[in-house]
Amino acid sequence: MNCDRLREEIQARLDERGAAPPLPAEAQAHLGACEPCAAYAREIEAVSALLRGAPEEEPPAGFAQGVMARVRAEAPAAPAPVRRFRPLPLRVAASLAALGIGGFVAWRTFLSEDSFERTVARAPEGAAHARPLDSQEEAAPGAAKPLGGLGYLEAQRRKAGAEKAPQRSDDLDEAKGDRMAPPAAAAGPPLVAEKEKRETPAPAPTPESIAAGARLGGQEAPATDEAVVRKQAEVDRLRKVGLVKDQVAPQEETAGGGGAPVACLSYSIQLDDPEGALTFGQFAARYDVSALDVASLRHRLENEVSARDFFVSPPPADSQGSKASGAQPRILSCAIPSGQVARFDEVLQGLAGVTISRGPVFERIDPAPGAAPRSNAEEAEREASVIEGVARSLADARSARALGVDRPGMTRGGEVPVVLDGGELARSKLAPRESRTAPSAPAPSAPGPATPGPASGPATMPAGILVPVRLYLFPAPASQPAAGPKR
Amino acid sequence: MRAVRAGGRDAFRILVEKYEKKVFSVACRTLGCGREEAADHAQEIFLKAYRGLGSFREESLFSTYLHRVAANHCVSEIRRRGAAKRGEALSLDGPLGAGEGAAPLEVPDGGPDPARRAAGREAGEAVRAAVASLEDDLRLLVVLFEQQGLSYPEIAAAVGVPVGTVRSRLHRAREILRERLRSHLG
Repeated sequence: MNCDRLREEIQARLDERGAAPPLPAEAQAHLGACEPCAAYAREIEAVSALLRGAPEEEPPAGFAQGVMARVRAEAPAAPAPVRRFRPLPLRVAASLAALGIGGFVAWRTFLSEDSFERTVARAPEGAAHARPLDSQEEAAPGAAKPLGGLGYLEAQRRKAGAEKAPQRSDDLDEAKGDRMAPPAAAAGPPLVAEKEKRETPAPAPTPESIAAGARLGGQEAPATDEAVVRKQAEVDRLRKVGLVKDQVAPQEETAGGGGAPVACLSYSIQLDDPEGALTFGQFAARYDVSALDVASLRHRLENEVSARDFFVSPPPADSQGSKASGAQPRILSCAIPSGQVARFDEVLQGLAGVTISRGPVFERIDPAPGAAPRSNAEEAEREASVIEGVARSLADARSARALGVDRPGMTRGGEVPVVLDGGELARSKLAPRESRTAPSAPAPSAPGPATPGPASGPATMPAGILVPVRLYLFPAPASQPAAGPKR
Repeated sequence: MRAVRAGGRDAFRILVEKYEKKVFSVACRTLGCGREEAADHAQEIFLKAYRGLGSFREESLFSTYLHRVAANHCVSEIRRRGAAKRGEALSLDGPLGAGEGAAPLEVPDGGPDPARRAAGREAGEAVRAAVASLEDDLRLLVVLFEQQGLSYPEIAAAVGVPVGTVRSRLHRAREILRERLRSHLG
């Protein structure tokens, strides 16, 4: 046994808080012969003893009275009891919904101004009031503050929470030690069936409707003053770091109809991009991690923001010659808990060598000059293989645990019913260069790739397309056989 | 507990008085702040615990439940500070980036404590200073594990990192503290 191994063993014994078995004979022999290790053992055990023996701090006088005064002032009655035994699927759904909604919140809140303008332009007239929070505050002085970009999150939580005992979910989440579990979302039919419905953006909530608890996403969303104030504070905080840009209700708000998916994972699939002119990534942002040690970055993100389900585009193939075709960025995307969005951004922005480009969603990339277009069949095959890889990643034990799909009653890994959306949506918007028509939406103000026009039966897919894909996960019905990824 | 859940707000006071030192200690040590601010955080922790009592299962210990609430609150506060103070190499709230050689930062005033003064005051203060000088994430783990007795899975759930990460960080924290407390370990 070498010194490192022995020291690890000694630390592990401290982890057991005195319940560890005696050191093995081999370790004891090493300790007897190695004075530095013996000193290490004495010192590290003394550190632990000092830490555990430290007396507790005395709170200021009158502390308990202060707490009780706040309890009396805040709560008119006893804490509301909740059902002690919730069905497991609901709890599982809660975790999944948090992840999915969080991802979508991030996706929406990272939208650039260009994308925002285009979104507004696409919205029906009823949604014409959608505008950034700043202008809204000017337009409605004295009115109740809107929920802004997070309004639909709150609405989703209320909607899901309608089946449960009323409780202050924020506090409950924290109290339960579950930092990312909003009220459970009910399982529903795949969103593909709701595709047409979703393609017409829902009218955005107005400040008045939110304050009055008007319908959001087809569901009653009873808003309380306290909830509005609390959520507004969160929005204000996010605005300071530039994460809240608009309050356009996401299409998913109405997509669920009678039910909602329990998770939504967003991925970008880089079909081919020799020019490196990417515009879409997770959360509508492009993180070029070419200059970084991706493994280290991944490790850091896993530790600091609980990131899961990484997708990192592979490095350029040597045979293609990155110098000849331009630097090919490596794109990082991953799923993170909803509470980690700001931190995720901070970590990436704080890294030297990372280029962040917030571009419009669903935008095509012009192929490299002279690049041979792929046939639809080739692209479909390539895309399917990537999607399959994404689905397989769910089989990773940690990912499965994070998504709660390794619980009884849920499918897991490759058996997770996956409904692919986005790929088809992208295909409808991406057309070969020669078949494109003039875009109906305003052109992006920032320099970048052209806005695609509607597709009209493209025969081929051009190279250099990044296809946004969202995977919607649903609890598996008991009678339904597990399904793999489908399109 | 039954009295509290049945609507006896004042019954909650018994729990507050029983655990006020623990909760105040967690706030004081993990957040590395002064007594006044720590008291505010400790109040918040109790309020959150009170609001969440409806979900508390009596088959688990109330102290465990309260520790989770406290840990979650402190984690949130540390992250909030990190977001607010990003870019600063050092701060009183969180000595981010402080290496092993970094001098301990200002230590929160624990106030008069005759018992500590009477015996082992110097060592006790050194421990507090050393713990306060740790990076935020390490300090949090040290307090929760060594001083508050939470298990690895409980800490992992509260902090949002894998159990293995909790373990490796705690080991690193002990190594750092061993260096900084060497003169008191004889």
